[in-house]
Amino acid sequence: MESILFEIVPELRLHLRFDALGVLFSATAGILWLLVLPGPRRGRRYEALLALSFVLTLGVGTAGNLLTLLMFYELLSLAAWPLIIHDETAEALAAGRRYLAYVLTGAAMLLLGLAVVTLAAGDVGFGTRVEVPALGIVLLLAGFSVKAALLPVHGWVPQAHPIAPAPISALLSGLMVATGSFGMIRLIQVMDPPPLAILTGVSALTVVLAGVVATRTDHLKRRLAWSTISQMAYVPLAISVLDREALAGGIVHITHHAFMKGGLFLCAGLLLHHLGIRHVSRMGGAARRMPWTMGAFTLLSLGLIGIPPLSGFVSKWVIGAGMAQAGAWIPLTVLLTGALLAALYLMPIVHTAWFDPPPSEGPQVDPPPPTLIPVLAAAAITIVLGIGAALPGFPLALARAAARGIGG
Amino acid sequence: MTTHWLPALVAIPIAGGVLVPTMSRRWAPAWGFGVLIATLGVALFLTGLLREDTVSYAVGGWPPPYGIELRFDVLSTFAVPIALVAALAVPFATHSNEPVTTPEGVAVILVGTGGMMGFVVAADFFTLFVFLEVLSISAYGMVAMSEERGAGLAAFRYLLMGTVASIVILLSVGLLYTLTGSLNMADVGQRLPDGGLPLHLAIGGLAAGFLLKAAVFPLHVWLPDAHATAPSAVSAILSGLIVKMGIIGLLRTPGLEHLHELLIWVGAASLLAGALFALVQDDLKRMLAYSTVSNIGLVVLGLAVDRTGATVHILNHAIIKASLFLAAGAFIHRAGSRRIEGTGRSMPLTTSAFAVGGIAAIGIPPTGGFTGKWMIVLGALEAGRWGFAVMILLGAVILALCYARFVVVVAFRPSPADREGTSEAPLVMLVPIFVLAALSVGVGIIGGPFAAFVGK
Repeated sequence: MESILFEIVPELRLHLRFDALGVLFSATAGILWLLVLPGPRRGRRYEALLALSFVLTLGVGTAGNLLTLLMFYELLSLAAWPLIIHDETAEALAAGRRYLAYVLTGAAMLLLGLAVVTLAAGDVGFGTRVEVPALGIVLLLAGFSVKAALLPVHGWVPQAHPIAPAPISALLSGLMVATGSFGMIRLIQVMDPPPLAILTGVSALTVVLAGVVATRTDHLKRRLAWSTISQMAYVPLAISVLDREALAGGIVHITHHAFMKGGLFLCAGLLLHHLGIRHVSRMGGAARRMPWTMGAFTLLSLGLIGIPPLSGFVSKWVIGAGMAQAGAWIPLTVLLTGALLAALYLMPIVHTAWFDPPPSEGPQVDPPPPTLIPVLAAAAITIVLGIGAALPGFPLALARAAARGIGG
Repeated sequence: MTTHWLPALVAIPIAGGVLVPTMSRRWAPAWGFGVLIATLGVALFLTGLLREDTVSYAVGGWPPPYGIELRFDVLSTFAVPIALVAALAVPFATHSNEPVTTPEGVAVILVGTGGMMGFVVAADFFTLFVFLEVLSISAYGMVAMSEERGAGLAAFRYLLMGTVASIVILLSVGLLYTLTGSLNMADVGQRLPDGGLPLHLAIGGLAAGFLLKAAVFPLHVWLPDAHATAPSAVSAILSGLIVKMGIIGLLRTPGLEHLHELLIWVGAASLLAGALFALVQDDLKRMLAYSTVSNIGLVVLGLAVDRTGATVHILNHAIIKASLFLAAGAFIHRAGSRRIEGTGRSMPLTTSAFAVGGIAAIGIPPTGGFTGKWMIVLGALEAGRWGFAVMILLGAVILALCYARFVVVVAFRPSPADREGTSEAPLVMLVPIFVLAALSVGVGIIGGPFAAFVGK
């Protein structure tokens, strides 16, 4: 379904389109936003911008040409900024400045890339394929990689994610980073990429290095942020293999990761709010105080590592199968290394929380149902999407349909 | 096509301005607003006629190129933002304690508006010069009206530099007359010699004068003080409208293609220098003033690579920058001083409008700031001038950081303890701000057809 709207600059129009890829992305956004809505009220500014960001994310999902995609993408970058600095601390403001510097530089590269592509091919709708100069594609890929948090332009993630309010961290990790990968998928949908060896190399490096850094980070939310950098680099890695099955895996990984990582960040927020815990080393016995929260945390961690039958396993399996089919052994090794690293940085948390003695005994302080439900829902979604992966209408089916539309 | 409404466009605001001193203090703002709305009506009517044909009017019945000719062409559509911004500035100022809506203030604004109208419809160089003086002298007066400390000095400096520019322009017009034997623009354009020192002197002199009036780096030194010390309603007129007259002058200059190489470099320098200066300002209005220097740089660069894009950008930027200065004025009004930390907390509507204006000023689609910037970037790429396209986007990134900084100042910094309980700006300020903010997005959404109209 397509609808063509205003001509905002000569010969370029705003253009909306509803296809499998966009539907999956928009639906993911819709459910993740529902999960972050409960919780303490944070005032008018926060609520208004949260709603605005949702609309803009839907815009990214339903954009029908490059211009519209970039428009929503950049507006979303700006709308998320006041949410990141919502707490108004000096640290938050510094993180906000860095975030803006990164995403705006990315936006400038995207616009330049769009200008190059427009000169060569005019209005690039997502239903067509066009021939464009390699420079244009490189600029666009480089621009998207800032949001996708590929090394060496990942710098905003470990600073902005931990400092934002927990629901915003969940959205940033779950979807903001994914908009970058989503943009890359849209690119290869319309243009033949140049040889993607660099993208393979960069994403492989990102998976491994960010994973290693995560194992050595004590701050819980920062560790999760590094994990996001590592895990979301799977998507460009899958894209760079240029195999249809791997691409489907990459697409579905966006959705699966959004719920797992979103849930983990919400858990981290609850730990901070109810027990005052920020660091992994302080988490001894946390599970005895908050069994439900840490139960969900454990399940989501297992999912992220890729234990069957959870959703994280499905996406990694599909990506891996695609890579094996394409004979891309190095990316496959990287994929498995990433899963191993995930185990190394997540399982110690789980172990500490369940088996280490707590610093002080206290009553159980699991939050009241309205705040607990989103976390449990994220865990439930991880199970359902894992077990039901093969069902029609589930993310994997949509992702496969989307990948078919893209070719490869 | 000809119509008597064309001279009326100039005559209504000037006559209205002359009559103000006869009026009581109470009625001056209402009269000023009424006259400017009438002028806006005429400007819109003439723009409507333009869809069919250019309107030309021979003053006193003497046919051009011998008599004085007024012409309403695409560039003259700038009359619409002129009348609109001036009309909105008057009610905005009634509520502030700045001395803008005294009879003298209203008279200066009306005469200045008339001067700008004359400037955009003048079809011969001498008339152009005369109206340039009318609008410039009104502008010096507008700055001098302020009660801020240093306003007198700022106005005097503005006057000195502006007068130098005027003299250079007058000399160049004289030189053009001796070269071509005509003053009528179309006529001069046809009789222009192919080259030679006198021609280059004449064109170079006109360009230098207009670049100074437009406050291009390094000729911008008068602008930040003048625009920042003036009352906010006046800053909107100065930054939104009056500096653009220099650009319109450049667009009217014949043989400008001889200077493209100079313009592209001067523009790029101004674009980056303005943005960098803006980044280190601690005062909102000074930041906005430097952001104007940067945007003027973009337009001057654009003159060399895409004239239509440059024209679109001056029209859109007039509205955007006016909305930003009015929003700044509302913050200052509620804070009671230039220290506006935290005022936005109790002024969510003004802050939102300011944010929208900032997004438009940076040039994010679908706002009005995007259309012109995009066309100029494309023009630079098409001309093979890669570095300049990169510079334009770099400038936009720096400006974005400037605007973000002030969003933090007004909405994320704590307000001082002695200023609790400020409230949203009064309606008479909010409505002008919102009309302009809505238009800065609106002109962007119809950017394609709009650019086609301007490029005709």
